[in-house]
Amino acid sequence: MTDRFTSRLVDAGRLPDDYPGDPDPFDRVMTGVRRRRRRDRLRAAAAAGVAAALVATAFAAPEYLGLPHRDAGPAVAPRTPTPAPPGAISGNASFGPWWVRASACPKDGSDPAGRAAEVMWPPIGVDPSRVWAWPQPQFTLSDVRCLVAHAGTSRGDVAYYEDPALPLTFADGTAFTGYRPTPDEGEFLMYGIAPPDAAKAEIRVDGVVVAVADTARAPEAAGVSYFAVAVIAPAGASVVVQGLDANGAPVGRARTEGVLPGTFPGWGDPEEEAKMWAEEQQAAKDRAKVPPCPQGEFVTDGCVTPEGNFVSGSGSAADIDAATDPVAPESFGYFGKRSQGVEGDYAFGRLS
Amino acid sequence: MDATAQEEFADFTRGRWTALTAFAYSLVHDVDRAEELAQEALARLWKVWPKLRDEQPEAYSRRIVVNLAVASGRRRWWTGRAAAGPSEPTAPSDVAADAPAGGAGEAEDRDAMRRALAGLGTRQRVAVVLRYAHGLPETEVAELMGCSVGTAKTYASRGLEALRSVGILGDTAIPGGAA
Repeated sequence: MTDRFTSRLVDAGRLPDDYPGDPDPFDRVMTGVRRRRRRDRLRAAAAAGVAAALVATAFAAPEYLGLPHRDAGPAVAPRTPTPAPPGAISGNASFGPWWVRASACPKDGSDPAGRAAEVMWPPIGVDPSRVWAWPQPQFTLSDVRCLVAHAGTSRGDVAYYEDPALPLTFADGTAFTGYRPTPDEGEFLMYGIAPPDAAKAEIRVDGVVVAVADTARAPEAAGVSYFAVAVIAPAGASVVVQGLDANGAPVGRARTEGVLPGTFPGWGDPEEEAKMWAEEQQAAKDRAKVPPCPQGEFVTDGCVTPEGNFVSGSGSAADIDAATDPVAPESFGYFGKRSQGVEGDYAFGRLS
Repeated sequence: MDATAQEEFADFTRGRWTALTAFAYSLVHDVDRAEELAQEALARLWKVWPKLRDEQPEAYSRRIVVNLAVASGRRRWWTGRAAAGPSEPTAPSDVAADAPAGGAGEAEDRDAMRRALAGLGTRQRVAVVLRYAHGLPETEVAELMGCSVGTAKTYASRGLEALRSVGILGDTAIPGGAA
């Protein structure tokens, strides 16, 4: 019977017979390597450039919007920004991979285009002449994602970075999250593409509805509905984004598979991991030189238990083997934190 | 990294890709996820390949896969839970611990097992799979999971108890005599 259980267990975990493999795993892995490198660069850039970026936007945004520059004399001619839907979030058609900017709306009546819906287009990536002042010059316009934020989703002039670890798929749409530069506050920007018929996107955190955002159509992308909303969610929380139609009925087909991103936040630095691994290998070799603990006796000297635990000084093997506490969170790293990576090889588009 | 080392890594990757993906699949039961885990593990291995190419690189890769599987399960945001929510543990009546093998019965049996495993906690599932599907000794399970032997045993034991509670084990004695 035990064999039966084991065989069923093995069978359940066996790759499908028609698994095609990968044409060239090495190429695929190298793609991951390049992605990781870029993420590392961006991580550094994000850490170093947040302040500079915000300052740059503070200067670029008024000019783009046709508002008086704070020290530029008369206002430049308006660039006829695309009007965003009232109370909505939208974006341009050239979504790049990593940058999200949510911005507060002008409250001083300086919005001649009547975008009193508290929505504004950030200048990032819209105008080639206003290329975002990334600290690293190799970041081009095509790499920039534009997003317009619902005023209710932002908290002042705050930047949200995409969290590569947290793309969600809901129904037939796709959701992403962004995090503030101070992620410990637990506030995230949820944004994404809703199913075509969804009028609202409902956000549940650990089973509780915490926010409902209206969806909106982007002028540049017919038939695509977007949403965005800021939510408070602790690390590791279960977040569900559900599309709802105008009557509040669920919209879309549930998808729960195949939504992992191409990268993972990891639980540590690869160099450190490698170092630890090498040390563990060495420790294993060292343990092999230590005599085994005598069976059934109180151990008073260094030895190795049958399970491979090294016992030093007084104590017994049973003491060590009796540990039942869960693994310390620190063992998994990043516990309670958000990935600092900024990533996005996956397109900002609808899933089939 | 010199050309020779790169070529070694390429050979290693091409030679072990399917095995590593299969290993990951046994933990997550999803081909796409398994490939992502294998890719990420090998991408990490690449960075340290010169140091580890003679230090059991495959074992290292498997350890990364296990850690990623555990971490991704813990970070439930990743799982893209939609309206349907997580899979519910299979009811005993659906499981048929003694279901006959063969044909549709095999497929149902496999699905029942997968549903039951999906109902376990991530670490419990990983521990059960490593211990019983892969037949690894407890020390190795603990090493792969990065925890103590006692903790690994606890995960496996509780996982089996959970499987029993949904009828997946029937009246079967728990393998290995675990309590």
